[in-house]
This record gives sequence, structure tokens and C-alpha cells, in this order.
Amino acid sequence: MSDQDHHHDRAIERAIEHLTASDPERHLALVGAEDLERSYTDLLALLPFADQPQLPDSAIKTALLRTVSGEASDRLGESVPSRQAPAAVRRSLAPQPWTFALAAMFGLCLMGLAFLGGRVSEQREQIGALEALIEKTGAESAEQNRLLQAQLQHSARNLEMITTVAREAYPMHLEAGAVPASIGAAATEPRGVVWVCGRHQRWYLNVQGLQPPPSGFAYTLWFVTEGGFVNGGVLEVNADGPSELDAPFMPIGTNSFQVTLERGGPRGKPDGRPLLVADQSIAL
Amino acid sequence: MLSSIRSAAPMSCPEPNERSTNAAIDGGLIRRIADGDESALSELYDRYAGLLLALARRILLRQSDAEEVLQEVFLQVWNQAGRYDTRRSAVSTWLVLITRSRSIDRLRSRQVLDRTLGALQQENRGIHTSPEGIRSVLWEQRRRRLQRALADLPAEQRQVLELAFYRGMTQSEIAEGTGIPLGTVKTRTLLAMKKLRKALEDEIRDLL
Repeated sequence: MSDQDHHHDRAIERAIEHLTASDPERHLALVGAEDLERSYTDLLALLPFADQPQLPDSAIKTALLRTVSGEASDRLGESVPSRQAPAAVRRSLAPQPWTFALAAMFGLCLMGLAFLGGRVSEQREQIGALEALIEKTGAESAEQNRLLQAQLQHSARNLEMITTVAREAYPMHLEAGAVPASIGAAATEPRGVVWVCGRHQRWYLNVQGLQPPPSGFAYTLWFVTEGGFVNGGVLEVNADGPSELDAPFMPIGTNSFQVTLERGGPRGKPDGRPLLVADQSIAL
Repeated sequence: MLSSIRSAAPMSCPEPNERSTNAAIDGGLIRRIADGDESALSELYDRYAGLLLALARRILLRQSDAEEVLQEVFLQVWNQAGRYDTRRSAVSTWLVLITRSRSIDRLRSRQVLDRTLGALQQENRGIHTSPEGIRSVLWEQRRRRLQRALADLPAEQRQVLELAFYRGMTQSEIAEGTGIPLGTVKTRTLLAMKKLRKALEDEIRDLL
């Protein structure tokens, strides 16, 4: 083998090894500025160009630019009232005599806090079980270990969401007149909570008691913003535990949340009736 | 007369300077994004969102997950454009690697690997491919060249590359998962990469 062949082999091995770096920034730093290493890294990154591009839903770009606009305004030091929306959530309750309204809110808070407290315990139990499993798995399988570690980090992030200060919780309640997918078969009504970090960015949805949707349907989370609905993703029904969704960012101006049952593929606005609604926050 | 002949010519062969301007355009957009120009982010999104969504979906097999990753990628670009170094890679390489990394992380955290076959059967979301997603004749030609180059690879060489890139498997894991000796996996990878590099020399040069 010539020196040049050896040089190419080493560059290829490094490019392939660096693929396992979890952080692309670190990956590219490892590649270095050497032309040969760079060319093999660029070559690997060409592979996806062989596939037909896929047209994204327009709602994704809308939400992205809204989020970015909010951050750009923050950079300029301007106040952005829409991002402070959680402090002034619209109330869906009609005006009531103050004594009845106070009693109803107190009851709701008690129920909500009990439910929220249950979610904290649940997350802690889940993390404990994962840690025990990781210890047991040990070096049996590097891939399995990595999977479990990733799941542990995911659960830890969700626990941090629930327990950190300066967060809000939006309890989700069954919408009046809404019927769960399995009529009469559910042992408990579905209930959920949307946890939102301070600065109204990172969010985490936890829903209990969802029954499997009918064939061709999917539960969908919606952010209700001043500009309309933004698709928050499909909620998969989990037979072993809660159904969860989370993301590091949420659309600017979100002031409530809905879960609906939708037919077919992705859409820009809900077609189905609201099943679960969260429009009142509890500051924690 | 020359200009009228040029304007009448069919667009089957791109002008040489179209290739070099793609890298320049991307570099310019990143610089503007680093300066806080939202319109530059919008333009970069229009150029690459179709490609990156297809990549994320290929890895994650779920449209909703892929769409979330797409949004996360561009938010990361918005936040980190100032740190991007043109000497390390092409802009497209940076975007592809971020997308791949986030997709594989999500894949692992949701244990999709164990349910991959089930997801393939159950996934019923419409996949919207669109000729509008192809930005130019050059990109379409690139796609065809890539497809030809990959099709020219022996299946076993293509397999080890795809497992490494799309599934995030190390060479040891590929050997363990496929039952192929590690030495054979390494040899196939080297042969595949060298063959691809030779077939795609022009494409790689265009990324500089």
C-alpha cells in the first residue's frame, strides 16, 4: 500500500469515527482543516442528497420565524408582550359570583396540585428504574446502554421541567361534551398537564388515560396562539405509562393548549373537536 | 446576439459559475444569520428544509418527530451561526450533521430501534415530496449523480455506509449486528468511500 493510500485510509477512518461524536460541533472540530479529512466528511454529508427532498408543513416555518422574532426582539431589549401571555391567560369561565368562582378555583387548584404532585413522583420513579436498569445492563451491550442513557437524560430533563422554579403548569381537562375514543370503555378519563418553563420556551406535555385512537386517527397537540393554531405534534398512546411530548421551544403568543383527534396526515389547523383543553395556568 | 443565444439555450447544463455560487450563497446567508438577519434564516430554510426533513424522516421513520427535529435544527443554526467555521466544512455539511445528530439522539431516546419494523408498517402519515423542493437543475443533477454512485456500489458496501450514517452505528456495532467480521466491515467501508469519492469528485469540489 502506498503512502497516499494509507493517508486516504486514515482520513476515511477518522471521518467514520467522528460520526459517532454526539455533537456536530465537536465532530467538525475533530475533522480539522486538512483537505482530505474535510473532503471525506463532506462526502458523507452528501449521502442525503440522493433522496427526494420532502416538502415541510408551512406551519413549521411559521412557528420557527415567530420564535426567532421573539428572540430578536429580546436581543434589542424591547418588551414582547405576547411572550408574557402566560401571566394573562384568557379565562374560559363565564363571569360568576365571586364566592362561587373563588371556591371553584380553589377546588381546581387542589385537584391540579394533587395531579401535578403525582407526576413528580412518577418521573422520579421512572428515573430510578432507568438507573437501576443501566446498572444491571452494565457492559452487556454498549448500544443498549446508550439507549438507556439517552432515555435517562430525557426523563431527567422532564423532571427538571416539573421541579424547577419559575415554571407554569397548565392542567388539561376533558372538554365538555367530548367523548374519548373508546366510548364507555375507559376506566379513567384522560387528563394531562403542560409544563412550561420560564421565558415561555421549553415545554413538556404528560397525558394519562388516553385510549388507542381509531384506525387512521391520531391525537394531536395544538398551541392556540393569537395568530391561530400551531401543530405541536402527534401524541402516541403509551400502554405502559403516560403519553408524552416535549420540545425546547413553543410558538410565540401561545395562551392555551388543546388535544384533538385528527384523521389522516399532518395539517395546519385542527379539524377534530377538542378533547383535552388547558387554558388556565398555575404558577409554581 | 451571444446573449440571446444563451438565454434561448435549454437549461440542461448549468453554467460553471452556478456551482461556485452555491457555496458562496450559503456562506453569505450564514454570515447574515449571525448578524441577526431573520430573512437570511428564512432563505436558508427554503434552500435546505426539504433535504433535511427527508433525512430526519429517513432516520426517525415518524413524520412528527422529523418535523420537530427540523425546527430544532434551524433554531440551533439561528443561535450558533456565529460559531460556524467555513474552513471546517461546507454549510450543507454542517446542516446535515446537525440534523443527523439530533435525529439519532431522538431515535435512541425513544427506543425506535426496537420498533422500527412496526413503525414502518403503522406509519400512515402522508409524505409530501414535491418538485418545488428541488431548488435548481444543479441540485437535481446532484441527486441523480448520488443515486447513480450509490447504485454502483456493491450492496454490502452500501449497507455498511448506510448503517453508519443513518443508524449511527459504530463499525464494531455493525460487525456485531450483521455478523460480519470487523475487518470486513472496515474494508468495505474504505472501498465504498474511495469509490464514492472518485465518482463524486466534482460534487465535493463544489462544496469548497
